[in-house]
Amino acid sequence: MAADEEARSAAERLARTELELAATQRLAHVGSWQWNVAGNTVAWSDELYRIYGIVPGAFAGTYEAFAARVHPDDLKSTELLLFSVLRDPRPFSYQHRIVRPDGTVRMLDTRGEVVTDDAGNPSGLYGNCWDITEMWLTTQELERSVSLLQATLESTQDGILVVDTDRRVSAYNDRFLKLWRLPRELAEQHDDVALLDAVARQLDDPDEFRRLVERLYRTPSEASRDTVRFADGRIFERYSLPQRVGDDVVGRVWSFRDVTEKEHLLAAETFLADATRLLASLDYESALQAMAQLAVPLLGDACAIDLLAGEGGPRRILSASKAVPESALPELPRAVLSGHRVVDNAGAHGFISVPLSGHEGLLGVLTFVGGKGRRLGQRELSLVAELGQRVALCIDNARLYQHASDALHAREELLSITSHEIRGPLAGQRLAIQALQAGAVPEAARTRLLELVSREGERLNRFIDELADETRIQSGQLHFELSQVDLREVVQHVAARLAPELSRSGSSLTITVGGTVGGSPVGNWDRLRLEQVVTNLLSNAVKFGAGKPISIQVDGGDGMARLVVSDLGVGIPAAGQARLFQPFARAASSRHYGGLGLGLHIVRTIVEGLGGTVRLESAEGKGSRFTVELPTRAAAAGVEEHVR
Amino acid sequence: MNGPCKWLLVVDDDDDVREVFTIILALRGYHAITARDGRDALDTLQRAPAAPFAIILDLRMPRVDGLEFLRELQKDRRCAQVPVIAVSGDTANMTLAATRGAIVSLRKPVDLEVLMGHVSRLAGDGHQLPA
Repeated sequence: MAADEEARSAAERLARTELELAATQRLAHVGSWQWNVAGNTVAWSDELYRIYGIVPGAFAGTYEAFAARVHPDDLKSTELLLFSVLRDPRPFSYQHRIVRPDGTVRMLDTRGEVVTDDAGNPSGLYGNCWDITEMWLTTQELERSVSLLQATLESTQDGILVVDTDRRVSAYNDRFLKLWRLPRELAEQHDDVALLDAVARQLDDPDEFRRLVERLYRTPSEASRDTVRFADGRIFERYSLPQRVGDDVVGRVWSFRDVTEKEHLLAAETFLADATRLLASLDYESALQAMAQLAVPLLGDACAIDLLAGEGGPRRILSASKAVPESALPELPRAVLSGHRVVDNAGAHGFISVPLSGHEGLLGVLTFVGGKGRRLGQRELSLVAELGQRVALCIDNARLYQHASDALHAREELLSITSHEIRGPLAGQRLAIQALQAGAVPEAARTRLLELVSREGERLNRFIDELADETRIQSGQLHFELSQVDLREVVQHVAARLAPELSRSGSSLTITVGGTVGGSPVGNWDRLRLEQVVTNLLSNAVKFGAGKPISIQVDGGDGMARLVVSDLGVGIPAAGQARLFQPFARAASSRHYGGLGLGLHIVRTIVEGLGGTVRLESAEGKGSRFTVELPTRAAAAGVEEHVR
Repeated sequence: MNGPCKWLLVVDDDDDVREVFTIILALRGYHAITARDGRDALDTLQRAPAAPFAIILDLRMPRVDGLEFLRELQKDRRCAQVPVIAVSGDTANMTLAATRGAIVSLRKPVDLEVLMGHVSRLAGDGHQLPA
């Protein structure tokens, strides 16, 4: 009785336990199973049937019936694991998907152990299956989100860094490391303070950068946008926004964009526009000085413009920051003088030199010296080259304007001089003629007056010839008629013709033939033109000789002939010598010496037309010495030859 | 005829002009001494034993020109009052010369009788001025 009672109570307890177990399994979505390998029987708990979506009894209870319900993609890994634990008994766990009869897929987490017989050989497996489908789906969703976030982070050109409120790095992208040139190991320490140190070191003003960062961390909800400048010239735009979960700020997102290129383009455009405005001036020296000052330190540490020639000779217009001592400025590279652009990063300060090419050749060189340690490249070269073109245009324009206005001024002066020079002889002639008409004039005075009338006529004639020659020269119509000419004869002839002028001036004339070179000064020249050369040089010596001795030396040999005309008169100051061979040179002098100032220009044109050279040595108050050298066979480019 | 001390100074950079002045002045009985520019003229005045009775002055010359000469002349105690006949091709210079003390400004080319009328008046030898 007691035993029955006990058995019934035990059976009830068991039934209750099984009920409780089943309820627990149902609540937890955990099912259990057993597999007898030898008998090929598989037993499932009720909950496992529910998990598999089938009614109890609809399962054949064999391994094959189980395998048929495993998701085909997971079957192989499932079988490999089960057979492996049978061979090598151990507790196991794995996850696999199953397919319910209605086609839905569930994810199961299985944990089990091996059952052994008395001999210790594996006879079967048993275990629990936990339906983790919901968790699995959530995890998958999360992984998708994370991968989307990661892909988004990596796909942007901006460098992104996310820091939590404890100043730990919670995320960053590769672009962030690359932009800031940071080693991955540093970022993987997730320490924002260490990161900040490495970043600040690179900047133009690290303290200012730190101040702003600290302020933003102190005011978590603040957003900011600003610019970060690097010591090496790079420029980043920085955006900083709070990271929020719901209403709570949990961190801060920093993003960085490299705007160096954009900023430089903008700066270059602005600079070019400003420079162009400055360069529109016709006073190019002031314009270049202003442009050079604008360029420093905007574009570099120094800007130099070397002008090769022009008024005042070669010189340098310079603007330099304190960072570049004048001694650090580069020599002009030879390549630039041959018209090439040069970029040189060899020294502490890199530099770019570009030729300034005007319409008549090289005007000068424009040089930019970069900041210390800054590498100059294509971008800088393009800008400097563009600027160089504008500078050259400015110089060209200003010089053309200067030449035009000089020429205008010279012509006005010429008109004034011409009228003076014509009035002189006319006044003389008129007075002489009126005196002759006025009544009885003694014979001696009559002769002198008549001579004077005739001489004044000659003078007028010479002026007109000079003017006509100059007109021919200016319009490129000076022709040469070549024949065998002896320079000695030309000199003798001219000296005889100018004898009266010479005697009036009080200067003596000595003619020396032969001398240093030796040989015969005979060549293929234009006789009348050569007479003009000798006449103009000798008249000059008479006019400026101050009554002191004049000498002419003629010699020849080795295919050359030489004529030297020297006086000991007033001489020409060094400053005026270069101008002397220019047309209307006299016009430029406020001290009028008579004559049109064309004589020496005509001399130079004829001598060069015959392939020769003329040069002047002179000192103020000590006299002048003109040396003409002519090849005996005239052959000069650009001069039309008329051989009769 | 004038006495041996009665002379006038001709200042002109043109050799021929100086020569023709010398001849025509001599034909009328005046003794002319010439100078080729203002500097030369000032030197000549310094060296001369007496002041001339007149100066015929070209305005356009090298070194020291006529206008500068006029200014320098004012500083010369002995010659500051010597009357100057300025000769120029340039109206502006003629006016300037008048402001600097030239009593007559003649335009080039000069008419012989006009010039001689002024010279004779300044010489005080009884010639009539032209109308």
